[in-house]
Amino acid sequence: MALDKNELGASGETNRASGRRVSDHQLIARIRNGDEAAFGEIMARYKNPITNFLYRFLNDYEEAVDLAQETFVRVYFAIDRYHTNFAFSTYIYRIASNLAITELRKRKRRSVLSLTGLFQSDESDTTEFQPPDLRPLPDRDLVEDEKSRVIAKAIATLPPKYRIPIILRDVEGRSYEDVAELMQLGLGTTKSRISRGRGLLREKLTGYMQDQNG
Amino acid sequence: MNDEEEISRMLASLRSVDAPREFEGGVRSRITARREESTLWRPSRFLVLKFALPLLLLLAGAGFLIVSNDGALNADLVPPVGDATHSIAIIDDKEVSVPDGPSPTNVNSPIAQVSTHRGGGNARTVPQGGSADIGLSPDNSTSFPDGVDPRNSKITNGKPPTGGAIAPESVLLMIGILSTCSSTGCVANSVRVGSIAAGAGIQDGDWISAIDGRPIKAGGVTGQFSVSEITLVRSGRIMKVPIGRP
Repeated sequence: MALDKNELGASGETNRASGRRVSDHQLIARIRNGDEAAFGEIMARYKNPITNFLYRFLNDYEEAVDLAQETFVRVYFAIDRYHTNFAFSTYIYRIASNLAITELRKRKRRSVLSLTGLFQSDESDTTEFQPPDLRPLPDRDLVEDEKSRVIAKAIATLPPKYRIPIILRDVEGRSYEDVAELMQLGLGTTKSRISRGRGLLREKLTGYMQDQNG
Repeated sequence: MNDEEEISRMLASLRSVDAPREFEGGVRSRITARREESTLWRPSRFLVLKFALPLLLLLAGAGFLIVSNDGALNADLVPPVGDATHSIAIIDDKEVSVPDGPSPTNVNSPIAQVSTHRGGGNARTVPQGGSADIGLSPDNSTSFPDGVDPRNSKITNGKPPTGGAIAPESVLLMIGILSTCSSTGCVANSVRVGSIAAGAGIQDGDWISAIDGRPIKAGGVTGQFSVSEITLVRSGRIMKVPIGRP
């Protein structure tokens, strides 16, 4: 079973009487009993990580917020089907990943042409047209940071099977074990995909890295 | 630092993006909306494709079969009870379904088929309006045991029948009615203009249930016939029509 970071009291609501932090599973039990405040606490814990994960996956802030909200709606209505033998963080990231992959497929159906050149992957399932998101990002600094923009765009062109583990491991900082459980893969396969994803990113960012080093 | 480590470091240096302030309100609004939607049943695309379409095809097929069978019933003159084209009449304290209008078969045909129950079950074609050899006797003899002489269109009165049954079509033909009969009655396909039946007011499409008060049954009619009265059903109403002599 993956380590649920929130079980250890990294952040979030605490039991005022005991001073101990309420675990995700305790909150889930309260939500099942109709405690709306417990659901609010779950949202407070996960809304930023999930939004960030989806933003890195889609490279579109508004789409990421929309899917993050949908993720919590799905969690709310499927709360009775959640099995507590899995970490809740794994569960919610899996829902978000599935929604993101579905969104990618929708985009692919809407696509009218393929990107070629710098961000063209050798993987057949990455040939999709992603129109540039010209809307301002919430963080002005992020918009102005060319480095972040280029990296984000490079991530967004990775095939999903490499993109998800790369984001979870290198952007979100989750352990290999967490990533493996979330993706329902073996540890070796997960490490291999992360390494392969980094390799693809390196190819895409070669020119940029040379400029930076130069 | 190798390339892979550098990539990892670059990714880790990306700033986190936070959810907007109105995030939780948006989630709760969606939940409320979904709850309201769930109270209204709407067929999904899956349901329509999976169930509604096959059901529609099934109903169409059933409708086709019903129409086909209806045609077959008309042909056999065993009308379904109480449908759009038939009425229920009480004859001899029994409910009988009778057609409301003319039979579609051979009403306007210049050549009609008259089938008989005797004479080897042969069928002859006769021109409407003319005399008919209805084949009561296989050897085409001139004796008609039931008291009718179809060739002269005369009714032989006063003599008891010699036994057996006669096809009601034959009797009705004598007074100018070309009919098709079943076990419960006959439908007048065509009433010859100027005939006795036409003078009595019998019309095309009338359902004739009895002759001289004797109900038409399977196997024909029996007994003595003067053909002085026809019991018919028209638009669900029973009428006893006296047959006058010219």
